[in-house]
Amino acid sequence: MPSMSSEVHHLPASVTQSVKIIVLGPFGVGKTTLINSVSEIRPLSTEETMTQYGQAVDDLADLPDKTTTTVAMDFGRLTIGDDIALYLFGAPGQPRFRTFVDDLMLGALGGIVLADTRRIDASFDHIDRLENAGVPYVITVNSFDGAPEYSEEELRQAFQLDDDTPLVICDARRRETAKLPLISLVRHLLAHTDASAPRPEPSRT
Amino acid sequence: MTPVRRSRIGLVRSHTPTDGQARPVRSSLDESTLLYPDANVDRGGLPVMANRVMDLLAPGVLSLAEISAHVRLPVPIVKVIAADLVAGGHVLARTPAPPEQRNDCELLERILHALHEL
Ligand SMILES: Nc1nc2c(ncn2[C@@H]2O[C@H](COP(=O)(O)OP(=O)(O)O)[C@@H](O)[C@H]2O)c(=O)[nH]1
Ligand SMILES: [Mg+2]
Repeated sequence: MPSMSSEVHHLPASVTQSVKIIVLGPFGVGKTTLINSVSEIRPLSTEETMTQYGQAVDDLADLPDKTTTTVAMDFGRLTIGDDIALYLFGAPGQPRFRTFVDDLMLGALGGIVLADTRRIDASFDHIDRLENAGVPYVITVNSFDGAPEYSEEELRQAFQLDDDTPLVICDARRRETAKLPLISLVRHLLAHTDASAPRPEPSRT
Repeated sequence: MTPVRRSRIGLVRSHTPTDGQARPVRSSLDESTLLYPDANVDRGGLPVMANRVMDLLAPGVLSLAEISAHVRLPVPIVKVIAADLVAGGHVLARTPAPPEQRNDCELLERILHALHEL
């Protein structure tokens, strides 16, 4: 048997589908903390070699150390009933991981963008990229001690949010509030299913 | 006051196609792909790493990301191994399809309920 880095928690064979939600935001904004607060397993991390994400090998010829740059992506899991496995993936925040994160966005049900009011602009790029990828998202302001407090109106203005995009405030360290952005995201998705959208009269057959 | 995000796209945001840019094509395997082992298929001749993945999967189902974390190999490499295992019939792979999931009210309601209970 291979040596395991940690205990392995298998899913039951009754699981029929997985759901992928991504958590984005700048380094240190609380992504790992939020995932840890919600996950049923101790968060795991994968090591990714940067050269595998879209960088031409030629570009790296002068930068030999870059080929060994690794990025740890951490993630957690929540089993729902005996048939759904929800995964929360934390995207590395540093700009050099853009390609990696764009790759991670593919196939995501939705995104949670974390922001810190001391550096709101550090989250703008993540919002733009989710929009470009067509991935629905919610904005979550993490409450850091001593960080400036703004009204919801001011925050919506700063993020340039349309009325429809949810804005949540949470403390990522506490499960009771760390789950709020997830709840908000799923509600947002429910409000936008085809069934909930106004549609023309069905034609009679 | 805070900095303001300058939106390139203006008012209509969600579901706006990228301006002329092709979206990346999704591969059929991703981090959240679930892998179901089939213990009945003969493992003779499997490469070492593929065998390790099968050992890891023996007790049950895991996502590709979990395999990556436990065998300590990057996701793209695990994708290649998993694709071979799928081709050989050793595992069955299920990758979520978000466009369908976003319209699956029952699925979304159940997730919502579970989150409230958390
Ligand atoms: N006060 C406060 N601290 C937080 C919160 N979320 C995270 N932190 C702290 O911020 C630091 C960075 O968090 P981390 O989750 O590692 O950030 P990441 O780089 O986005 O994964 C840690 O020391 C956390 O304890 C929060 O909501 N409130
Ligand atoms: Mg982190």
